[in-house]
Amino acid sequence: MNGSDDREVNRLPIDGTELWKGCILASCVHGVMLTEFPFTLKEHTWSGGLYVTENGEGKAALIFSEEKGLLLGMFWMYFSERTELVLTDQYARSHYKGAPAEIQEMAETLAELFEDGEGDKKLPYVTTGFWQENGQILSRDAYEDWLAHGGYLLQHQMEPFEEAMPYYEDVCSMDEPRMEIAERLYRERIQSPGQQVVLTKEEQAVLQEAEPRNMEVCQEVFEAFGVVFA
Amino acid sequence: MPKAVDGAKGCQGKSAEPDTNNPAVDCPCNSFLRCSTRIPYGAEVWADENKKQIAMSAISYKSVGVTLVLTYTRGLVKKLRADLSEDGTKPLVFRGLDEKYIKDHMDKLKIHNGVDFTNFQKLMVGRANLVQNNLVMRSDVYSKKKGGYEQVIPASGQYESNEWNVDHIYSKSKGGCNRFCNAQMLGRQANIKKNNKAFGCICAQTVPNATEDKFSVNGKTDSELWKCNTLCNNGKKPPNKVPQTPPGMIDGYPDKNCKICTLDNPCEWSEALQKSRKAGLKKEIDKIC
Repeated sequence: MNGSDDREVNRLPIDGTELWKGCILASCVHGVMLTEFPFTLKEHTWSGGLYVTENGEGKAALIFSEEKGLLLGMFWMYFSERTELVLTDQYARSHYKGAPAEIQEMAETLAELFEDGEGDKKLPYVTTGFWQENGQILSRDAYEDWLAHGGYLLQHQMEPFEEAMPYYEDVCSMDEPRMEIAERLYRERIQSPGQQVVLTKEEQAVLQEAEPRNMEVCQEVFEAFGVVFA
Repeated sequence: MPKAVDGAKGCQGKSAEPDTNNPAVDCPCNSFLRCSTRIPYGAEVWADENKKQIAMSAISYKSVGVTLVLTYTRGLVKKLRADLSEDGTKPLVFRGLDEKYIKDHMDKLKIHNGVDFTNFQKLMVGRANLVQNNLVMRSDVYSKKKGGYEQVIPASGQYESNEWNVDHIYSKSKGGCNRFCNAQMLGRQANIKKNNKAFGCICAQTVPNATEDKFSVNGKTDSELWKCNTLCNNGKKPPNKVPQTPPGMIDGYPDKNCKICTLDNPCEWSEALQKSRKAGLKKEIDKIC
């Protein structure tokens, strides 16, 4: 493990477009299961081009731009030994040392999402990060270190549909009708990234069957990443 | 033999013939014993007909500050909706369950090392926790600092430091399995503090297809359960399955020499617990847990 500022800049073998597709798939699955399992509400959230995923192991945030694609990734792996290195907010910035100024500014703002601590002593817990420069994804960590200190949180988002879906089927306790809806939404959404996708009345009825009182929250979650209710 | 990592030290290179009558003394894998003989989460709730009915009800919740306000109901949807929309805060609802729902999900459940608890499992753990604590959701780990068992809440959309987390007692990242017996409720902060010092699964010795002698937690559900070298095969050669004759086995339920680990369904456990009062099973469980 290397947590110091003098780390080299490494190119990570990440395809921003594929990762975006993976995030959309995870979000579609999350959305269709939300009425049944509302306690997963915060596991995948979108706000414009900002995608945040959070679970019992950590938090990851990605910023996507329509024009430039994946711009930046920030990670906090709870179980990373590096959490013990978080002594100042300079450490959070160190993961983006050498990045273009606009990336560094963006990272500084995003770091607020990662603040934690007790009382007034809040610090951004960032255990690794990456940024995009000239179409390449760069990090102060080698790929293995990036995975170990946070990249692991995106492991299923980095998988192709065929590999990720069986995982979601098991872990999200999905049934056939909702798997079909998630797949349909995913395929349409990635086909036309700039367009909204419509969840039909029939599909809404399937989701509503689990628990109608969670539909309002479900709708909000879907709309945040371009899926609207008919 | 692959090198074990932290948490699996007890198994490495040692062998012992498990003594089914006195497992903790004779087997070096004490942590594994505790894991494999722990009662599935919520078994006591599902064993009690009244508690079970509450646990299966529709449970509505919303967070007000750090307090969880909830109501449970069976067939009182209108009243529930009216009660909870007074201040405009959106309630979220755990749907009501029936026996078929639970059975279908239990039948589909795949148990593996190094994977997440499923949404269904989290739902079952959350419900059992609520009922065990008189409709307050609490951490299962005593907090010295807080002087008790911290109250926790399900995610409500706002950031809360005491948000619930169904945690792997033996860490998932170190091979902990997703059996109900490896589950515990923890608040978010407590989970973060548990950090990387948490124990791994003692029975994890080898990983299928691993290229190196270290854990390769890939979250896939198509791999076999990891194995306890000591218990599976007396430490002599790589084992093929989870322990066939582990020390935590119980005579008489439902078959002779039934292993507790195979009874991970908390609902089945209720039956086992009820029968145990005559058969002395409860006494046996108390002895080994």
